[in-house]
Amino acid sequence: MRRWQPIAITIKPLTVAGMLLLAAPTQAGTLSNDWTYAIDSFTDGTEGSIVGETSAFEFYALAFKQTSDRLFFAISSNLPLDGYPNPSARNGAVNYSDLFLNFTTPEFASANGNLVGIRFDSKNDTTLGLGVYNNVTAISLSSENTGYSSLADYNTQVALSGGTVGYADGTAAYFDSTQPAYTTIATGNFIGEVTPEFNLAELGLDFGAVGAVGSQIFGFSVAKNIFPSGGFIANVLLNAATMA
Amino acid sequence: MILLSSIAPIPVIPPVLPPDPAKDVPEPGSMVAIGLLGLAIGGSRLRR
Repeated sequence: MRRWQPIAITIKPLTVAGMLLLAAPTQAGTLSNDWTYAIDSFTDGTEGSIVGETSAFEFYALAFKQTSDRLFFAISSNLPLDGYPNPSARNGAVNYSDLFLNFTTPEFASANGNLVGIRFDSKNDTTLGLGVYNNVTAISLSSENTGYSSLADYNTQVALSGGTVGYADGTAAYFDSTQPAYTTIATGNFIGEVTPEFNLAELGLDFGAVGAVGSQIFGFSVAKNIFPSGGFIANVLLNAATMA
Repeated sequence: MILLSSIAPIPVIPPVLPPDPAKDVPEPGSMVAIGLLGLAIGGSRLRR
């Protein structure tokens, strides 16, 4: 089984006092009712030879909203939070990766060690507990979860299956396409809790408004005051993003 | 999936200070004194 559904978005770097920071981002996502939606290709989730919306691994969109004191994230996909049972995967299932937020550099690899990571999936393979972590170093557990050997390998398989890899407003350059994708918080400092959210529609969440409705929609929130302010790049994958 | 956005700074709300009793004492010739003077003049007209 091979699967990966990235969207990449370009950013403008800004150097301040010798530190590379992300500038306030250009408007890359789709705004609707105070939510920002990053909409993925609907034909780049692969499940064996199946690709697209009939795949259990199709991701549709990642949404974000902030209030004065909370940050909300929501996912629309075909993968339940319980994961996809597979005896070849670590812990018997393919699950979500952790959610990573990069406030510092335009590439994931160069920010590794200085990421904010959110473990929201209680059944993935991360050994740290649910929560928000800073100074995160991420690793790849793709090979333990039947994933692709590299983004390049994934791109090839999607094309062979008749799909189209989506990168939204950017490119795949955010990741190193020759390497397995980072999926998992390995180390970091706990800084806050993750709260599951079950009534996000009351806060205006509507994946239907942007035409990105998967079979599974869920979300969570975190405290805002534990995050730096400014532009960030967030990404979430499967923990089977690559396979060695 | 990658999402690009930004986190807005949390507004800093100025602290609410307790009232300073010293500032509540009217100065000589203040609006309080002027008001009392006006009331006295008005009362005088009503009696006529």
